[in-house]
Amino acid sequence: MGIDTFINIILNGILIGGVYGLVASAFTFQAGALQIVNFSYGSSTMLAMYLTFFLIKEWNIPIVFAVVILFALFFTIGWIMRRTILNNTNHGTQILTTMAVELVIINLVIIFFTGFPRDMAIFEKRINITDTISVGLTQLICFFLAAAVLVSFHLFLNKTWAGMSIRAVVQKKEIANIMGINSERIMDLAFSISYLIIAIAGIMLMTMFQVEPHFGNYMMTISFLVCVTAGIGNMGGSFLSGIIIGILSALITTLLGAQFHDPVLFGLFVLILLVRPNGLFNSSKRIARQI
Amino acid sequence: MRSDNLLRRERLLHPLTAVSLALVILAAFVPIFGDRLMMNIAIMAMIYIILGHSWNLLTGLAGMFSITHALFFGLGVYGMSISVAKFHLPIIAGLLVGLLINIVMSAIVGMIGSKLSGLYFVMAQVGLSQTIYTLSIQLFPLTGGVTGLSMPREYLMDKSTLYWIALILAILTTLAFAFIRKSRMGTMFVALKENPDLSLSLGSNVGKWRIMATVMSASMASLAGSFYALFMMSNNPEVFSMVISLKIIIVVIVGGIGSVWGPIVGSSLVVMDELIRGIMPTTMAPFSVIIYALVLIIMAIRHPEGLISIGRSIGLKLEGKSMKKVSISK
Amino acid sequence: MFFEMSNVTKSFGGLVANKDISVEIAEGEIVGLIGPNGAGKSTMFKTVTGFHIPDSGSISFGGKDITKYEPNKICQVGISCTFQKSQLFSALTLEESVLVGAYCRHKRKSQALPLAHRMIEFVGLGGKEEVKISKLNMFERKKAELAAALATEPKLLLLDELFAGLVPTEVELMLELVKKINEEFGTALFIVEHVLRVIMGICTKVYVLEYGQLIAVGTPEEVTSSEVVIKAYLGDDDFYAATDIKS
Repeated sequence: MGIDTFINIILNGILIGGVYGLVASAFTFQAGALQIVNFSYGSSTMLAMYLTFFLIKEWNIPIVFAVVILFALFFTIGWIMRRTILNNTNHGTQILTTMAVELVIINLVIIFFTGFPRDMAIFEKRINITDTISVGLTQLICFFLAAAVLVSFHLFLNKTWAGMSIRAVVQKKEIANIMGINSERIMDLAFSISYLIIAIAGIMLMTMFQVEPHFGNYMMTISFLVCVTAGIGNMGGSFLSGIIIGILSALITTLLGAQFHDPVLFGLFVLILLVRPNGLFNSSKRIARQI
Repeated sequence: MRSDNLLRRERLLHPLTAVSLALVILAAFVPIFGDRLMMNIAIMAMIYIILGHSWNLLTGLAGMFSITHALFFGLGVYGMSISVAKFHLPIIAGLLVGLLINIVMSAIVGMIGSKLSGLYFVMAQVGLSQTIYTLSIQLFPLTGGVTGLSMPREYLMDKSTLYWIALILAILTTLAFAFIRKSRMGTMFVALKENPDLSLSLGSNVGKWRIMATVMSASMASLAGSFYALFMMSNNPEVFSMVISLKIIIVVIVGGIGSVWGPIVGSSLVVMDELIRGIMPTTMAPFSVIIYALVLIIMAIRHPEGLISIGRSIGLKLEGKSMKKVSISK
Repeated sequence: MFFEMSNVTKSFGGLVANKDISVEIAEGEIVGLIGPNGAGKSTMFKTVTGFHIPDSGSISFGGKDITKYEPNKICQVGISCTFQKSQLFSALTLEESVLVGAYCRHKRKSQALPLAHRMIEFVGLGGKEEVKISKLNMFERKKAELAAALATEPKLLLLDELFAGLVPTEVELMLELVKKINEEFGTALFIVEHVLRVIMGICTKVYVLEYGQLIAVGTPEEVTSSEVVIKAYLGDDDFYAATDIKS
């Protein structure tokens, strides 16, 4: 294998990894900051991918409208989920109910969209850096878009009133309540916003992967891996570790073969959990509630 | 007042014993009067009773939240079908192979469980389960990939034989669960679930008991899996799926977590599900899963703080309800 | 020495919770440890019972070095304890809860059960074996926890704020019980208490802890009249309440 191929693999890994980071950041926000463990997370991403495909490809709705519809829908889904089944603090109950929601989503997708794998079949325009090294245009756009979304989310949390309210509620609910913040509404809002990120991530993933109803499981384990590598609750870190996982995933596929990709990656996940459950980069117990 | 309570409990036990006797007698009639469909349904219910006891042991008693319990079940299935279909070993060897794989896997899970807790433990289980699931597809020469292996015809057993085996296994695991609950092991399990720190300071080796709980539970699930392989005469990666894990959990939660009766009461759900699926066309299968999921969601909405806490809100339902009635009438 | 802590130091991050602590307890002796809130009593208690490993110093018991033992191992060598805020095992019955302790010495239920029954009888909860822990009141729960700890047949028993939250008559009963434990089993007791008055009558030796350091050792009378202690506690109502100096 030449050095050029190697660089291509790494570049490809970095670009996909950025999107992995975005996908995982919503999970890490939910689990780490909001203390809501959402196991229907992967299938929500999958649903976003399917909807993107059908809105744009099958029903020929202009992209802008499609995105607006998707955003509205996912904001509502997030809001409803938080109001009905996730308004408790018991992790066990949350895990079980969201797993149930996952099954509902998967089976509804099978009923309405059938289990047939779907693909956007975008003709990828390559940008040549040198004669042999190139990157895909959509991938490049997605990568920078993912970074932009994360940065703007960070700004939202730090600069706007709503964002600061979210941080206040996350840090000390009781005090925030005394200060006149309706903490329940704020939690609803935060959870719904995290669903917007899922919608964005779904659109991006749809341009890169082919989707089938169980794609969510794969995406979820990848998010777990990314989150745990960065430490749950660490959003900036999850973008970085997403890139690392992306590179790793690309390397495993080319060096060992595609059939080893999932077992090796998932095995690695269990190993990291056992050795450094607080994340590879977190020094000791500086974990969770950091946004 | 207290003796009154005790008396009521004594009386309450009697109907339960009567019910269980009636159940066993009723079960004995199935192969005589029932047709193939009935028998299949009954066997599926038995399998879920065994799996329910297995999950109940690990989560209901020892308090380790097992989210991918189908992992142990599936390893039992693969142990049996690979050794029988690939290596033409006798059935008993298949059983032992399944058991052995499961003991190794559950020791790993138990070790993780004694090191990690809460969300991390659950995530590790999902990771392990996904690893095994993908391996079961990728290791095509051994496992038969997506389509799975089918077992040679000479292993095919008569439906009523299968039925009796299932019934005996279900009764045995029920007795085993009841025995374990009352034994040293059961006391230690509940103690470490309720208060790990105090258990430790009272000299209980919490880590060891956690591993023990996982191994015991996995062995039970492995039995069910090996039997399932003989029942279906094949395997496929779907035995590792989330649907089965969730069904096991729902069966126990509906029946009452931590109690011997939980899985038995809850298995009525499996009977209903299989009945509906037996009648409806196969394209309706997704709906049955959705119904399961909705049952769980509704239960969660009704009991927001603790779907998996023993003896409090929904656990030990039979006892809990009667107590409540008494207090209201007063 | 029967039980000895020498120069034990434990710190969390920058905060030194215990500094250079040395404690000696003879066989069958009743020793008290007092100090205001946040003095480091709980840390010391947890270090002895094995939940914390000290940064430096050593703990020995019956000639063995137990500094790095796990809590369950410490129980097995003969040190047991009751917790300050324990919920016990709310889903278990009283009998089963005490059995958990009894199983530390006996692997078989047939051997452990008589021991458990004896201990339940001893603390005065006979007849309530089948009652769930969650149905017991505070006083009964404390006694139940004592029974569970006694069922591990300890040679040294650590009691963390055993008397907190009890009404005066219950305190008297509990004191009787504690004395009875010492007399009947010859168990050495190490009583951690917020206020000295409660345990003044039964201790032969009292350690006073403040800001993570031992500031005085002696008989209860010596300690209450010690210059250092009075100086350290000057203006602290806790201490006046504790020692009745103020009256």
